[in-house]
Amino acid sequence: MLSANLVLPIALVYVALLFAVAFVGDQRARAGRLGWLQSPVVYTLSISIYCTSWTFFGAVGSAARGGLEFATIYLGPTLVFVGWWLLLRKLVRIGHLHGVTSIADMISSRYGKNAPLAALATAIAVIGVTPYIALQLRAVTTSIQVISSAGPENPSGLPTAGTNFHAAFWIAAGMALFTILFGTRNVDAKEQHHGVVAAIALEAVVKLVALLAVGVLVVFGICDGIADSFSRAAPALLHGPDAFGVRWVAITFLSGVAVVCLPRQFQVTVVENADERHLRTASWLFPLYLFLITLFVLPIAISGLSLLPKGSNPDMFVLTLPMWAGHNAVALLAFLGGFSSATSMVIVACIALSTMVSNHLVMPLAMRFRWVRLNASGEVRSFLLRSRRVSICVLMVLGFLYFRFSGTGGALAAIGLISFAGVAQFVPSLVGGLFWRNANASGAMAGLATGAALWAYTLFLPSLGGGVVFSPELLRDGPFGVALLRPQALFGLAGLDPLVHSLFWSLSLNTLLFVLGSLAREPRPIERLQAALFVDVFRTPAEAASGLIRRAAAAEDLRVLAERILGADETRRLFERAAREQGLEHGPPIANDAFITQLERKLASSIGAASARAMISEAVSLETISLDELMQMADDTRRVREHSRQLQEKSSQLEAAASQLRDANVRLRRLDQEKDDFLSQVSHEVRTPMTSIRSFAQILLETPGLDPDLAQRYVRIIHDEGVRLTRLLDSTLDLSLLEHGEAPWPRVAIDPEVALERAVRSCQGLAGTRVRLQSAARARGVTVEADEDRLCQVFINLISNAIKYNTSDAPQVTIRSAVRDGDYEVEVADNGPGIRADERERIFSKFVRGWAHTQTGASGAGLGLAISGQIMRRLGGTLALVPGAGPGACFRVTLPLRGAAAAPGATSRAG
Amino acid sequence: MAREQTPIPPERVSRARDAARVLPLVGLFLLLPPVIVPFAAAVDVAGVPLVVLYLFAVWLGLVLSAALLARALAPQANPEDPPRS
Repeated sequence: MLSANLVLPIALVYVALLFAVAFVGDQRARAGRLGWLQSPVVYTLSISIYCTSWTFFGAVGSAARGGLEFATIYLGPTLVFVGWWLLLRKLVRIGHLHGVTSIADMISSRYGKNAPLAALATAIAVIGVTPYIALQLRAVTTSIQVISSAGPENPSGLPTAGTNFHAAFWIAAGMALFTILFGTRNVDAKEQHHGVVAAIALEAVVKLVALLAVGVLVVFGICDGIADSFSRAAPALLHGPDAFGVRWVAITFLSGVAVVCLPRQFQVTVVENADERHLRTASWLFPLYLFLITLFVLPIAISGLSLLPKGSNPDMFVLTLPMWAGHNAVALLAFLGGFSSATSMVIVACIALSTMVSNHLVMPLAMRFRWVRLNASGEVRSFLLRSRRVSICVLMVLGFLYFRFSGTGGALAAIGLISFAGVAQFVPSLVGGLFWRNANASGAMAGLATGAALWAYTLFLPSLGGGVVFSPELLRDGPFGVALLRPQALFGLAGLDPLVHSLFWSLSLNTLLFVLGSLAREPRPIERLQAALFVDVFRTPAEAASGLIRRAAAAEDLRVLAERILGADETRRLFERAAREQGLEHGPPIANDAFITQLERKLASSIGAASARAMISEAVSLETISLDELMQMADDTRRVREHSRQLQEKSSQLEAAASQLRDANVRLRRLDQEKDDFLSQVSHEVRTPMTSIRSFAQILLETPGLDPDLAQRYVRIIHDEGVRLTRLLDSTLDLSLLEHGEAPWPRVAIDPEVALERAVRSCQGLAGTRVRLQSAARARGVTVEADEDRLCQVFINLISNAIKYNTSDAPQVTIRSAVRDGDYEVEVADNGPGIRADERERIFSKFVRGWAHTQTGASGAGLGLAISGQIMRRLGGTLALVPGAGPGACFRVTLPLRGAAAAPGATSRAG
Repeated sequence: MAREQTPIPPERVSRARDAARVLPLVGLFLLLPPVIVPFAAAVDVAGVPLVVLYLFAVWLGLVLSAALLARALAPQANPEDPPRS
């Protein structure tokens, strides 16, 4: 079978591969070629470190012991991610805006950047996660022992020898080394650990593929399909009497909470999030991952129970089933999958926890006791990195010790749930802080401390077992024989599941004290400010803070401070950018409120908000928070929210009204312009004949001995001009009457051909012999409703225009009429020069002479077509210039036939 | 109809937002007792216990709904978001 000599090299090669991936990821990130490293898929895969070896090995074990209960561990996270809009979105946004580095940082920031609170939260996280790290060590150690020692004669998954703590120690050391190499390169926790993320994304794929491979092997290789695998199940497994009782609800809740509050989950979901949009993808892709990874858990558990010998370790079914079936390759893959899930969890958990420890525990102490020379450039930076490396080692040692002392009994899942219950203590402070404005640090402190103490007393310490802390007598009878204080039946609440019991007491008292503590006193100004920034994060820009905190500092002091933590290069870049933004050519930026706030946020992303605030406070001479403005900001947000809806409605109404007004204005302007044009045109037209009349009359008056012939000629000119003037005024009057006349014309049934004939006859004289008047096809027996004289006037105008302005060598005017679509149509076409394209639009306007470019010498007032157009409009017809067959102009008169309905003037272009 | 238009009209985003708030509650309702209890009856469908089918079906339904909502909640049409700094 598989020997230790084979398994160990393979595991080492796999680790080398992870190193390579992490290295390449880091190289790419440093070269700025992020590419797939920042894709939503990689983000989702990194979140799937939720599935540790607890999932990989423990889910099957849990299913074998408790049936469907294993699923609750994945249903909670599914609900939280599916409901990302409620909680995660807000967390991620706050994380981005405020440079949050960890869950402890988040909580302390919310409650006024409170350093003791951050330290308490860190301590809880470290103690809470220790069992979880121990779980991974145990799973990996056991799996190595199982795969390298169990043969076909011993497939029980029970180590032949006792747990090999020696191996466990070296595994812990190896994991610590990997974490230190790739997780503590940079002090800025907001800078993504691209290499590590790439490696754990790969591990996420490996563990999913491995578990699916084992599942497919079990269902289709060992069993005969899904139905067969379920048929082997003992009836009590899936139809237990209270499968869906209190424990079902409690664990669903607990797992939903854990996927947010576990330090490593907070790290990958909030801190390492590069783009809020990735969360949108993860909201369904992560639940899908969970769905897939749990798909085969039940068949594997059932097959393990029915096929493997009694007393086999259900937590190792994933490994022992393929070995039992003789599929060593799948067994090896399963081993690597379990190894992957354990290592990725340990690495990220250690990164997250070491950041918390160094920022919130070590740094404040170092500042107080002057462990680090604060005035040396870069000193703080290297101190931080050192402290993180040491923290990682300490965390691994703690995990190892817990593993050592919790013994080898108990299921993997039971250990994991202890951790879940520990980090669940964050929930009241975290969620309450996001949605409740009056929550303050006192409440958070009291709630967290009480909750954590109760959790430790009722769940964590008893789990150590074997009399390490609590003796069996104490567990049975209570401390000093006080039965009310029995750890697993506190205040007489006996008969509950230990987990539910602990959860009940710790969380209910935690919440109660959180609420009472918050109500007991007014929030301090800084708490109130942070509350406003967090609760209203979608409405309040982070920059608002700079307007509320008034601080003064010397730019030089700030520079020294920044150099200690960020290093000289980073500091110089930061200060130069700030100076540029302030519009300064050179020199340090002005240390105004905005700059100090910006610098504080930058420092916070390295050392946490509480430490950053403490450091800035040393450099700042004076700090006031304007309470009035703070209250106003809170009020403003509320008021804005209430009125924004009404405002939106009003503005859309206003917009509609404004656009109507704009249209009306445009119409009025056009009318006004037309009126002005008309007046100036009329004046111009009247002036020309008047000038000539006046000048000839003057000659007659001032020249006594004028030749009678000449005098006669002058008088004639005066007369002609007078006639022209009268005609012009008549036409103008006519047009004005047409346009504004109210009295309707009597319309009677007439034959329009009669009017047309009359018009042709009266134009014969004008045409003479020069122009040929040609009658083409004609409509006969047509009846329209019109005024015959007016209609005749229109025809005469069109025909005379066609005759007068025809400059062709063989002038010719064609008149045709027809009935088309219930309309009577007359077309007057000539073979003259036609109307220029640019004139066609305006031909029916007043004083426009369409033939101005022709050299006929014939002159007109330019009102004929305008009058004709108006007449046709009032008759309910149209007059239009249409493209004719020949080169010349072609005008078309259209009148509806009698009985045909037509809207008067609906389509007329004249006006 | 508005459904086919891009970008997504604001009324539809607002409805999607409400749906996103309700979806986890629907999931809770379906997965917690008492709703899930009747499905635990000893009935098999095609050899698979009913309760297993029910659980995984609800799960998949949640995933699909979330995927659809995620598409409808594209950030370009989110008036609640202030411009990113």
